[in-house]
Amino acid sequence: MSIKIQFRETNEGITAYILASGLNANDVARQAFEEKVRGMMARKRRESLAKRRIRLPKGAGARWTREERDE
Amino acid sequence: MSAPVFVVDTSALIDSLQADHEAWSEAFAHVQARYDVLAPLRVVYEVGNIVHRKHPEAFGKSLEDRQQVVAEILQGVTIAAWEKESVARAGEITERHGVTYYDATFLDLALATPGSVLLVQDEKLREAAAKALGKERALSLDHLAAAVKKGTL
Repeated sequence: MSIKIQFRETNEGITAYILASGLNANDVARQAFEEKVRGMMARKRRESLAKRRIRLPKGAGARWTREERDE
Repeated sequence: MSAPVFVVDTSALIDSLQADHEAWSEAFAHVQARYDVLAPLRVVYEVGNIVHRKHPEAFGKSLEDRQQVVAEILQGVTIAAWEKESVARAGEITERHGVTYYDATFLDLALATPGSVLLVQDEKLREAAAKALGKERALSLDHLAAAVKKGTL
């Protein structure tokens, strides 16, 4: 879902207006938070595994999984 | 392509950590950051058995290292709730497509999850998935990396 947000400067500061039907500020905040957390988790996983420099033989994923499943 | 959910096979999960294939790990991280990634419970047993029993030397020098690797491999993967009906469905997939029952549990989850894409490195399962789901919903990590590079994901 794409969300359009318009920013307007007022005496009180900057106000963000959500220009999408069916959404409220809580929905938008929750969605933004979930996306942020998901992105951070994915980056953390990748960085941790990259640091380990795991080198597997070519085709290991398919071959080793097949070993688990074939009689 | 718009894909709200990815079902990941053990083969793709294992290959996504290959240090020599940065494009695969990048593409998988891209997907995890944007979409739900699901797998049946079996993925935990397969990853655990591959790391701790079958090929421990490939994943670390100590038990603690390997335990950490398993946790990191599975991080961000949601284990799908088991459905009673999946037992019969997986049986049908096994017999119809000539795959193992274990393969069928992954394909069944993709079939039962509307609009999902199955990420799989195993050729035989990918071919079966392409027939059952359609080619565009049965991807290898090479396909995924190409789609991410093209900006279609």
